[in-house]
Parts: sequence; structure tokens; C-alpha cells
Amino acid sequence: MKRIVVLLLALAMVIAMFAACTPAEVAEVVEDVVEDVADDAVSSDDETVGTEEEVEKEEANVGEGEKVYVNDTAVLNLDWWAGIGTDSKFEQPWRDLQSLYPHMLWGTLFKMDPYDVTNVNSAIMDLAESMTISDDGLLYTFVIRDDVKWTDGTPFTGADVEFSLTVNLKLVHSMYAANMGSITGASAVIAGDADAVSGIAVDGNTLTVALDTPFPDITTKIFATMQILPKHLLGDVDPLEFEDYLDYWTKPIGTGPWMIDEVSFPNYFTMVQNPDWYGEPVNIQNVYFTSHVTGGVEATLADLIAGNIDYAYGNGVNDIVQAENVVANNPEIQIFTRPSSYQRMFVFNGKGANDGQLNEFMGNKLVRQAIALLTDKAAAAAMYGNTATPLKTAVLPTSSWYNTDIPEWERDVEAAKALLDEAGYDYSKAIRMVYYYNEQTTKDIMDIFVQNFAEVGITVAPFLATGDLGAILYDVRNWDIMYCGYSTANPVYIYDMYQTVKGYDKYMGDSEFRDEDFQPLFDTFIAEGDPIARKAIGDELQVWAIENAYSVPIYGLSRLTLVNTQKLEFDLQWFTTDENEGASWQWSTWNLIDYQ
Amino acid sequence: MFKYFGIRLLALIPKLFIISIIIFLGLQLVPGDPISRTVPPDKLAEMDEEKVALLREKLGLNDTLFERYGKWIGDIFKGDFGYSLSTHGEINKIIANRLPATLELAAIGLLFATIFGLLFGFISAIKQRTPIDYSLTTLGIIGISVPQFFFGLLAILFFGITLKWLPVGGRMGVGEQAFFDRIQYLVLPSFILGIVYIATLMRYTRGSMLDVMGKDYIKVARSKGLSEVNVNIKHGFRNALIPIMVIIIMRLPYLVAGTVIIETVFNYPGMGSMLVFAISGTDLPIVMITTLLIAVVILLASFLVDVLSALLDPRIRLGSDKEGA
Repeated sequence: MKRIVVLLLALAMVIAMFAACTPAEVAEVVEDVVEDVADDAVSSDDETVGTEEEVEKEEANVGEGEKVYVNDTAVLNLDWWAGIGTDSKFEQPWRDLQSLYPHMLWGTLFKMDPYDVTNVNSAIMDLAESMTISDDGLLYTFVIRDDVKWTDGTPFTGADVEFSLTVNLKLVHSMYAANMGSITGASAVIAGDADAVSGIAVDGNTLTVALDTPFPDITTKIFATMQILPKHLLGDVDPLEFEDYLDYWTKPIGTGPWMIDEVSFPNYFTMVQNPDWYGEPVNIQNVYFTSHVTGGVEATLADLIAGNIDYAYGNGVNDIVQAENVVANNPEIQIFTRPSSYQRMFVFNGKGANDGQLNEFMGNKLVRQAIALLTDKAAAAAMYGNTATPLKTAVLPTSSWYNTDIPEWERDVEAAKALLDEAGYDYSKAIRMVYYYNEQTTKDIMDIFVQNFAEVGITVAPFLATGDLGAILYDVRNWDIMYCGYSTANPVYIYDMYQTVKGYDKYMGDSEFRDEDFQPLFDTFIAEGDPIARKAIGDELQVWAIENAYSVPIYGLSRLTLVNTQKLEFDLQWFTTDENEGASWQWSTWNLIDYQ
Repeated sequence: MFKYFGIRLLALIPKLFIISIIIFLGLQLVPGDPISRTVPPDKLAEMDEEKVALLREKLGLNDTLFERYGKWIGDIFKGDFGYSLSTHGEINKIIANRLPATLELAAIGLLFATIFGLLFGFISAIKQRTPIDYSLTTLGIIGISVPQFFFGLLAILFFGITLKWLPVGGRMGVGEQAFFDRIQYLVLPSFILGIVYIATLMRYTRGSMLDVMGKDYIKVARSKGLSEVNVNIKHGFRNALIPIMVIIIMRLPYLVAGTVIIETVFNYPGMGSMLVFAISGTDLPIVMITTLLIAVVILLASFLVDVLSALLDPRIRLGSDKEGA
């Protein structure tokens, strides 16, 4: 008997080993076999945690009893995630910050209405009382509220807004500076020729921002999203030392509905209601943020399952399979998958290496079109489970900006081969593909690309860029294709990268390969204020992008949020759109609940 | 004897100096540019070259190797450990927050492991080839061979999520700064940390005890009619302790280095996870300081081994005195 049990267990182990190295569908079958074998070997009387019966039982209990609001007694528990860690200070909000606390701590001039997120006319005013846009779209006039105070008691003024806009242009880390170039005088500040932005003026409670060229998206890209920081505390700090100014960043103050109360680096911090909050009253009294930087996503999920946090999001949770598993076993938790405009793509080096020789083939749009058809985007996206979507254009198919006349993406090796032949492609030449994500999924995706290109007889040599990335990617340029990431909020804005003054210039440059039609088309898109006309130009840009294939979008990645809906209730409209840049978080709708 | 200890102590200074040079030079050879870890690749791709150059200058990456070493070691003597490249936080404060966490965790884990490792090893040796010995040996092998993270995950699932007796992770809850409030957070990680140490120490103690119990002087003690307790503890266990002591003391660097697996599984912000993040992020200032700290503790531990060995075994210090003469 003992021998039989040992043999069965050994067999189960061998099958399990094979299952670990087998594609998912086969693995499921193998798992069933393993379960059968294990059932034979072990008595089925044993009770285990999380059996189907228990889950069903638990499901039945969820939401039982009468719902009561417990905002005064309970605490909203959130995950404290920060790219710089939680060791010694708070991250400045103008970096690519995904944590919730910046939205709770600092205000913006206004917020977009989550039910009408692209319409600036329905914007919800925040630090500004009103906003007026001149007919030519070149002057924005804000009346600043006069009843707002920083939580140290200092009155909030237009000078704080002027300071925040100006200092962004001088920082090393700012995701806003790139979209402020149209403000009159901004380029002089960026170049270091001026200290103040001539186009920004404050007169009493009135703030004006003048633009050189119309840029309607400045509303969502800057005014509705950029948190305003206090000039009286940060105004004298050297911009290069801005993030290291610990007098402020160890316990920053703001104007938002909550303020920081207690901080324990690197463990947690707490927030309490701001007694001087000027906006719609919020219900939740206390908010605790717990750091999971050390334990990562597993620790975040463990705390979510244990009921220690109510909401997990952003970089903390990015694996759909893991998230679905959590939800399956914990019915009180709901998962929200929201497409984002973050995507991975190919860009091409038409300039060639720094030997002065143009890269003839990568500069040829037929070759680039062929690569778009050759790449198995679906297989690459599948590496991220259901959280990635293969892309035909850089605009997500779920977006309202998507050109629906464009047919769905399909891989077509024959057509790719025909295009390569037409371009006179030299098949003996290996393609040098550079990437900079040093994780296994990217390496697996590189293997897929190698296989894809091999189908038409092209050898791909992927290599990981390490060291001085700026020098490797822009100066040395010893690569043909770069596998990289890019993110924008307005989906069509991704084509911003093709502008001659932007990053793409570093690869394609002013080479003979650039298409002259792009810049006028994009300038028109930026300047157009009418939403319908703008959409039409956006459609045209997408067609242009497929035709010219300056870059080849591969897949877009979704963002996941897990919410304990038995403890936390709020208006979920925010989750329904991927175009939520600058949308109001509607804090007044957030409530802590209990079932008694 | 004091001369012997004094020489051993003084010898630490040149050793530390050489180690500091090796650490500094070695880490300068690490491939990868700190700039590309300071700024995310996607952002770096969008940054203009002037800003990159300014950042490089600000971080002192344009200075010569000699200048950088001089500044680094000089600042350490002044108590200024510098700034993290990736987080821009003061390393002094980062370490001040994390070192006590690691000290608590490792000290409790080591204490727990030492007490039970010695006890179980002792019992296993004196009950050799009995069911108790076989059981403890089996448990010891399981403790050594099963990875810590597995025990950790099981403990979280059972005690944290199912029974809800203990927190699933972290070092403290809100307002729980006092040590007694934090004990609940230490129970699982220190226990799991201790399990592996217990298993190792138990195996060593058993082996050392059996080795000693086979010596002639034990037979003599028995033949003199001493009680079994007296023989086992006074003559057996005390003599078996000398090699075990070295193993225990050489675990002291964990007090500073931390244990990355336990810290990660239990979301416990200690030195181990900090060091791993710093290594993966090419955050050289943190890696250099932490490595130097670990080197200091290793040297101190080896000094402690010398001291204890000399105290326990006079032949060592006498031999050294003769050599010196």
C-alpha cells in the first residue's frame, strides 16, 4: 500500500512538472489528472480552506443584513504606493504618480465631469471659481477662489498657480512640462533664458494664461490634472533640489478635502478631514494608507483579502489572472478592468547608427508596413493575459477617438512578404531590436518576434539596452527597431511623438524619410476646438499613421482596480472610461458601509 | 590577554579600509548607468539631453573615481551617508527607519532559534536513535529543505487570513509605535525566520554533542560516577558549545543585512529588502553603505568569535602570546 501511495505521488509530481512547462489549455487538462491522482492517494474526507462549498456559503453571506454608513467610526484603508518608495518622504505629484493621496491632498484649477469627461463646458470648478476661454482659444482667464486656505492657514492665491505652472518647466521630473510648450514664454523658461513665464499673469484674484498657438487640450492635460503646490513653502527651492526639499516633502500640506495627519516612514500615514475644505463636504473622516512597497502585489492582495485595505490599484495590481483568482475566492471584492492608453510599440531608426549612414530599410515605409503585418500582436498581448489588447492603431478600439472605419487588425505574413519584396529588402541583414524592460515577459515577447520575423526569412537579434539609455538610444543608435512604451491621455495625442521637436526626431530626424503631411495635420488637430471637427482630424491621423507606420503599436495594457464593495461604496462612473484624465474623483460620493 | 584582543581590534581598521575600497571600486564596475535607473526608461526617452546632463552633474556622476571615493568616505566619517539615487531620500533616515526593524526581527528570530535549536539538538543527541531523535531529525530536515517563503505563505494563509489571529504583514499598524503593540507583527516573520535557523542549529548541535559524547573524558566522567545530567550538560554540552558558538555568532550579520525573503513575504520593511531594491535599481550609494555596514558587522562578529574562543579555550590566546613573543 505504502509503495502504491509513493508511486502515485511520484507520478503526480512528474505530471505537475510537465504542467508547469505546458501552455495553459494543456495545463488545465493536466491539472485535472493531477487532482484525480491526488484524490486517489489522499482521503477525500479532509477539509481544506476555500472549497467550493465554503465559497458558495461565503457568497450567500455577502451583503446580508441592513446596510449602514459607518463614515464616522470606520476608516478608509488604502494602499500607499510610490515609485520612489515610502522610506523617507512623499513623492511629488507631478511625477507619474498612481497613488490616490495626491488627489485627496492637493487641488487643481478644476476637474472634468466624469459623466461628460471630454466636455470642458461641464467642468467642475475646484480652486478656480470660473474659467473663460477667448474665442481664438489663446487666452484662458481664471477667477481664483478667495475662500481657500492651505492647511497651515496661509491663504491660497493665484500666485500659487503661477508658481506651480512655472516650476514645472524647470523640473527634471515633470509629466506636465511637455504639454506646456504652447504657453507664451514657456520655451524661454525651459531654455533657461527667463525665470518667469511671460504668458502667465496674476492680478488680484484673476489669473490669465496666454498661448502662442491654440491648444484646447491644455484644459485636461494641465489645468484639470496638475496639482497646485504652495508657493510660500516651495517658492525659494532650487528646482533641481525640488524633490529633495524634505521640509515640505516629509509631510506635505495641500488644499484638498483631507490632510496628512500622522506619518511613519516606511510603514503608513494617515489623513484626516481638512477643516477648511471649501468644496462639497466629504463623508469619510479618516483615511489610512499602508505601504506595500516591500511585499509588492502579493502583500497588497493579502491585505485586501484579510480586509485590511479596501481598494487596490495601479502598479500594486497588474496581473489579471491573480486578480480574478482573488475575486473568485472573495466575493466581497470586485475587479474593475479599465483600458489605459499605455502601450508598447515598435519605433524605427531611420537615421541609422551615428556613422552618418541612413538606415535605408527602416526608413522605407513599405518595410515598416510589412513589420506591422508580420508581428503577432495577439501573441504578444496574450503574454499579459486579458489585460492587454492588440492594437491596429495607437488609439484603443474602446476609445471614442478610435476610427471605426479602420478594419480590425489581422496578421498577414503573405502580404508582409510581398511588401518586403517590393521594397527590395535584403533578407540577409539581421534586424537589431533593442528593448529596455529587463523582465521575463519582455524576453518571452522577444522570442515571439524572433519567430514571427523568421517566417519570412528575417533574423532578429534582440538585445537589452543597459547603461546610459539616452546615449544608446539617441546617440549611438546601434539598433533598427526599438520595442518601447508610451502613454498619453488623449489617445490621439500619441502622435505628438512624431513632431519634429519631439522624441521621434531623435530616430527619424530630418531625414529624407519623414512625411511632410504629418506636421500640418497634427497642428490642425491641436488647434481645433470643435469636437466633431477634431474627431475627423483624429480619424485622418490614424489612417495616416497606419499608412506611414512611423511606429507600430503592438498592444495596450489595461489597469486593474480591486475594490472591497462590502466596505466601500462610491460612484463607479470613474471606472467606465479610459478617457478619464482630469475627471473628478467625486469624493463626496465615497462612503464606508457595513451590513448589520 | 588584553594585548591579544587589542591587536585583533586594531587589525580591523586596515581590513575595513581595504574593504571600503573594494566595495567602492567593485560597485563602480557594475554595468548600467544610474541615470537610467533614476529616471524610468519611458521618461528618459522623452527627456532632452540638457536635463539628463544636469541630472548627471547634480548626482556627481561626472567626478573622477578618486574624487568620488574621497567624498564618499569623508562624508561617512561626518555621518552623512548621502542620498539614494532612485528615491532621493536621505540614506541616514532610510537606514534609521529600517535598521531597527531588521534588528528586532533578526534578534528575536535568532534568540528563538538559538534557544530551541540548542535544546532540540541536545535532546536529539542524548536520545540518539530513539523515536524522539528520529522525529526531531525529520523535522530538522523539513525545516532546512522547505523554503522559508513557503512556510511564510502558509502562516499568512492560516494565521492571518483564515484565523485572523495575527496581521498578514507589515511592521506596525496606525498608532502602534510601541514595541509591545508591534509584537503581533513580529510573531509570524520571526517564527518563520527562526524555523530554518532552528533546523540548522539543531543539526549542528546534535553532531557536535555526539562528537563530544564520544570523547574519552566523557567516559572518564561517567566512570567517576558523575550523574548523567552532570555528564551531559557540564562536560558534554559545554564542550559541544564551542563550535556551535561560532555558527551562532556568524549569524549576527543578519541583524544588519536582514532577510529579504521573510521581509518580502511579510511586507516587513527591513534592510534586506532595501538592499535588494537598491541592487536591482543600481542605487549605488545605498548598496555601498549597506555593504559596508554588513562588512563592519561581519568583522565585529569574527572579532567576537576570536574573543569568545580565547575565553573558552585558553590554548588559543596562549598560542598567540607565544607567537607574539
